[in-house]
Amino acid sequence: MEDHAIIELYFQRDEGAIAASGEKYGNYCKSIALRILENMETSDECVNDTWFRAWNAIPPERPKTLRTFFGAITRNLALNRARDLSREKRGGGQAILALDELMESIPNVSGTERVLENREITASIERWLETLTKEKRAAFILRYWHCESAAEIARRLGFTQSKTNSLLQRLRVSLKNHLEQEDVFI
Amino acid sequence: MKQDRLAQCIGDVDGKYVQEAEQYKKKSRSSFIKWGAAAACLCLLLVVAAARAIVPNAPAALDEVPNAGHALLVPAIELPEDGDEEIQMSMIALIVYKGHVYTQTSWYDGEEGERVERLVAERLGYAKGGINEWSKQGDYAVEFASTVVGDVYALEGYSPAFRICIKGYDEDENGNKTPNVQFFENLNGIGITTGRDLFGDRLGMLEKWEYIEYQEHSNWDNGAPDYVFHRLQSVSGEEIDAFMEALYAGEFEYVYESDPDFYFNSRQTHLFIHMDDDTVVELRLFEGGYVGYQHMGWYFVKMPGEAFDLLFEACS
Repeated sequence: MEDHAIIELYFQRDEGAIAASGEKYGNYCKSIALRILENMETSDECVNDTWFRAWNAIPPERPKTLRTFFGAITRNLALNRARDLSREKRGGGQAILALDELMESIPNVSGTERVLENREITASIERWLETLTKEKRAAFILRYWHCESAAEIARRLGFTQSKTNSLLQRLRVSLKNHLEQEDVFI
Repeated sequence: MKQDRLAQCIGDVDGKYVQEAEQYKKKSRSSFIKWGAAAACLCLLLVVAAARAIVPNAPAALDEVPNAGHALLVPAIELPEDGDEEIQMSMIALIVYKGHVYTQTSWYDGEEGERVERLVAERLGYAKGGINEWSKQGDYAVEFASTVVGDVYALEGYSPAFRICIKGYDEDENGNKTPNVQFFENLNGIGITTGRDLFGDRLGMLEKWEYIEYQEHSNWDNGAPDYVFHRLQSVSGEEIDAFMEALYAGEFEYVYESDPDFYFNSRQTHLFIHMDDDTVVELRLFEGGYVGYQHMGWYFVKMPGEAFDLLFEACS
């Protein structure tokens, strides 16, 4: 089913929207959750929750691309779940490592900062992404959006693992510098 | 926590960046190997899983590696039919040769490339590109259709029914060229029964192994700042031979059917078998006696016993 037809089902409050979403994007969302949670059962729960989050969001929202709209919801649900599991010391895996790495990108307090809305921080991150080459942007997104391991990214990009790690480390520092320059306080 | 908030904001970036990353394909560093213009996307795991579900497989037999009579048939890679195009795909380089899809496995460059270059044998043809993530099954029937382009060669010591390669060159800023060799292997649409079918008949591990390195799974998986490979020295050559013989004799299992969480729940370690022809075979060992070829997904030889335990504990 075409995306616009699925979105129309949501707008008409037709529950067929959920079945159509699952049929078309279930595998995609599950692959995202599975990478973060490394567990089939909890990944399935996240994917199921994704459709209900979408049900509550559309309308009013009308996503530009359903695929990444659903993917982002699944990712956030899975990351929250991974953090819970980590607190309970029951795992969390690759996702927690990726989150912890992001500490290096948190700007230092400068005294002039103001607390921004999430969407303003996201806009700043997007401005930074635009300054990167496609290759670096892909590495960053694969690690910190998809929570792929450095080994997986190395294989995808044709790098050695150590080169991938060093690239990711430089990107984290670069993001930090950018956020500091834009006075973004998190 | 602050990093959670930052992660959430990264999650909210425009979907175009996510799509771009998902479709990004590595650039060849070679002056001879050029990637095709379209995205080269194929998720072996899901597509093979889909193939298992929807395609009754009858892969064409290769003369040199017969499939008939085997206990397990690894399904041929099939692209989804129209309407299923949203099956998730990720990037794997591939070449169609004699009707089979060969997927990229190892890549040797630098000094390794110079050593492995001597194995490059008869030229088989030219991989001409033409496959992208929107390709349908019919596109895969075209000989030397591929997601990479370059000259395709056989490799000395290996059947082209199993392993072929693309050879190219890396060029530094001074114009000095060093060879790089990418291996492509036919690991789908094949019949397998025991470990001998892959590790013996195709790879010749028992005869060719020279030494072993291992990498602990946490180091392999976790993006540690430095990857650490240990030379396996605490196990004798005879004991390694015994492991290989048990591996040859063990039967293959498709572990996804018995335990979909297999990959995530078991203790595991990674072995790098350095062969006397300077190639490297990467094995993945799981507690309980399971040994898999790194490039072959959920197919594992089950070989519990003393020979396995000795090596597994020495490498964990």
